[in-house]
Amino acid sequence: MDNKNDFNKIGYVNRGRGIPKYPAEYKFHMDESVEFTKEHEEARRKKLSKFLAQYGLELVE
Amino acid sequence: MKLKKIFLVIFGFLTSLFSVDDFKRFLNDNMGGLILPFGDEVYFDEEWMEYKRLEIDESVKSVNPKDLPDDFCDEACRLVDEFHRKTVNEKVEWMLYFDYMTGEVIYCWKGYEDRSIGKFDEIYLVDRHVASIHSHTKDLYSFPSLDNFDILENSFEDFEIITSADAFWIIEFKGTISKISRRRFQQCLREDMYMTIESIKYWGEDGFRIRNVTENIIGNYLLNEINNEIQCINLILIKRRYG
Repeated sequence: MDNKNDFNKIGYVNRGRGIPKYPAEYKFHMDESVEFTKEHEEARRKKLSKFLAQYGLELVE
Repeated sequence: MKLKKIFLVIFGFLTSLFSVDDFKRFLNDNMGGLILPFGDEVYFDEEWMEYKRLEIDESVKSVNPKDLPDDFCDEACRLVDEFHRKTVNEKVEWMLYFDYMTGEVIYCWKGYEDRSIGKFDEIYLVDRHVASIHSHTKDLYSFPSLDNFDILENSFEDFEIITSADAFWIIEFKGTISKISRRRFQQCLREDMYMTIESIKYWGEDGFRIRNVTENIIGNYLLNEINNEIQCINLILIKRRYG
């Protein structure tokens, strides 16, 4: 914002896609996917499984 | 008489800069709460005026100023409480950009059932302490959606508040990360939220319970499981009840 070239720039704000309460279906949308390594994916799933287990839930993929 | 002369000088100056049509367009651009008199008429930002006319629901519990960030001035706290009371029964989302040090509204947008979108000119955000606030309708969970984490890339926005019928959320992120870093964060969130919701649906018993469990579990996931620091910038999430 300190750079004068930034002035008079039109920006867009989108705070959409709030998640509807069940049973409404919701599509988790993203314009394009970012690639992650297999190790990163596995580590995250493991962490999520552990989190869900606190509530007596098993991870469904 | 002196006042009239001053008014005519200002009026003459303004009309030399703008044609009447230009000036009407300028005032009706729906880009903020700008209200100025021109001649015998008053032109205004339509969405801001519609927001101003929304009724305040006195029956709902208030937002406790102690639950808002210490940086928020009294007027900003009052604005947040009023926003909740005005929008809690609305079937569409509303959104404001405001200065949390002064409580002054910078932009006002009327959204749709499930989203708030708007256009702004960054020049009006220079040297401001910007926070956004938007409402979730009663058909949506209270917690932030993926798009609500766009704040991570916005250098001008320090706080984001999300109000809903039962609870409100505050996201604090005083800094900016690159677009790719923001997207990586949102993608991890998308996959984890998706799998969590599917797991709850698979193991859940009935609709009412599923709704409550989803609100609770996704809320706890956001509060406790996501990184609270990205590239040395604190990401603080807070969920509060009213009253």
